[in-house]
Amino acid sequence: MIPMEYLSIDSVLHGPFQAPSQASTADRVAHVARLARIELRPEEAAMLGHDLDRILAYVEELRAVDTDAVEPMIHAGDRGLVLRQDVERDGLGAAMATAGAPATEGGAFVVPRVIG
Amino acid sequence: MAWQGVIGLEVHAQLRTRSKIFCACPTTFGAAPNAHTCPVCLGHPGALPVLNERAVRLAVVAGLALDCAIATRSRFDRKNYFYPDLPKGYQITQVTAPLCTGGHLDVATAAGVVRGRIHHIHLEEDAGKSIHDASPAGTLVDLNRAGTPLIEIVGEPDLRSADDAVAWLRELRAILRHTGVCDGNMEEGSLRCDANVSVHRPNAPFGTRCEIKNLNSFRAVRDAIAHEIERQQAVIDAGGVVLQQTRLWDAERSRTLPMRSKEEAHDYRYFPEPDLLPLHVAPELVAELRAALPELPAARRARWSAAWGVPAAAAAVLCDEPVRADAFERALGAGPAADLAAAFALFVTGQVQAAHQRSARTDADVDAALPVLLDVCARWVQGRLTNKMLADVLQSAFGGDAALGAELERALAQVGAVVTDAGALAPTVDAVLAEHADQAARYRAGHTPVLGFFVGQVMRRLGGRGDAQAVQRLLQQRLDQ
Repeated sequence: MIPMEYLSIDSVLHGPFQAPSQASTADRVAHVARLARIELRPEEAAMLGHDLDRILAYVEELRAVDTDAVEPMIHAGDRGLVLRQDVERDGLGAAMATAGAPATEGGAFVVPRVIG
Repeated sequence: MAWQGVIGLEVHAQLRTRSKIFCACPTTFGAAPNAHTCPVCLGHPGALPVLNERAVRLAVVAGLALDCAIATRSRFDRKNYFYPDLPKGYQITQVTAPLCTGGHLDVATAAGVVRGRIHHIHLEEDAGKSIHDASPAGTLVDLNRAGTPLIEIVGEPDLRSADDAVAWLRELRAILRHTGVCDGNMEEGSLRCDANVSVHRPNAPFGTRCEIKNLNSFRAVRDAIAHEIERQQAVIDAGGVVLQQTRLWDAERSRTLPMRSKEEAHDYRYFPEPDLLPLHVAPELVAELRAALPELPAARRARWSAAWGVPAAAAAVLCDEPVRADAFERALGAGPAADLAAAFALFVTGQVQAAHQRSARTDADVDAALPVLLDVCARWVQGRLTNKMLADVLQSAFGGDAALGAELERALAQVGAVVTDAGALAPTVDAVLAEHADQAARYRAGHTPVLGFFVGQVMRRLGGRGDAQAVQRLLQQRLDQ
């Protein structure tokens, strides 16, 4: 089961930090960058940190509203999802699917070794 | 007081659809790598998912069969992580508002009925397959499986032993098969299981749990859980603490190994899937599917027991697989003799299954031959086939090349009839008595167990085709003269 702290904005607010309230902006940016597997130059991290602070401040503002009696809204549109019939159709095939891959073998994509 | 295991299973079941969950690619197992891929399941930018209606229906059916509440509104979320066989960089799943909630599954165990509650069932897509050891060039990625529709059935920690867990999973598989939700094939990965295991003293709070992954057979489920309970007990008995971890079952060495600890646990950054509107399931559809639910295995076993006196263990084996159970009922026809139904169930799960396991025959071949097997069983029960003749028929038929039904007919014709007629048995009986005059004297001196020796000798000469009771009667008659 999913620990609630990993849901949505809480991940950014709390992350793996010992004392969430004391986590610095720089810590939060570094945490999210690591999860997203992106490398940030110091000036980029500073810029994103500035944006993140503003976003989080806005979220804090929203949190102040009492929503106890309000039904959570899942989506802005109230239309339900349109479904498709369970009918299979040929896809692209291996040759076309892998045409843009840097390396293939026997129809499979080759990626850098993951384990072993 | 002894330690007690606390187990909750998380089961992934592949839904029996023709096409994938969000695109029209086929779900057929065993295709050439990447043959069944398209821009949606390859994760190409701009490609949009469209949910498969049948996947929704099957998930609802699973929920209904397990007494869950079906949400008229549920939604999809993105679970973000990086792995080469997850081309979009996220899995579409349901976290905050799953399709089915609550529910339970009761199983009969030696210690009584065990209720394993179900926390929820959600819809999600499968990832592709990474093959790590096939090529020196690196890891190979096959995305045929990416986008295969799954349900994840999340069980509550209500099970207390490895055997309970296996019984619960086996019953769950039988239900998923009976309802046509999943083919239940663990070898092909259609049904996969993770186990959350902790230990505690009865009436004390639960201990720290470990999640064991990679349990792809009933045997792995039993062994891994039993082993993990022992491991945690040993850690605590030695004064240590159990760490919350994800562990991997190594079947070859019978042990679990740490995969990652809580500190390294993935932070999946879930958020609502913006490409999909909320899923609305009409109460009318739920009512329609509820009305169309087939007889579930527990009800079927109870009916067999009440109507035919089929023993529970045999019924459980036959009802594991609805195709087999259907074939069994068809073979018996409309009004079977109650005593024969029970004997036939024991015969199919006993002698027939043993012969089947020694042969290379398919389940379908055996299922198709059940009407002939019923005839074989009837002859055996009525004494028209001796044990030896039955064994010969099964061995010969299962070893043949043609369809099992045809081979059984041939073997039955070949084995001939049991010899019951005293006139036909007399020459053999007399010859044996004459040859063993000393033993005959012992019998007449009061050493009656020698009779068994004579029966054996006569049967051997008759190639096992003599009626044992007729032989015994005739022997006694001659010896008592």
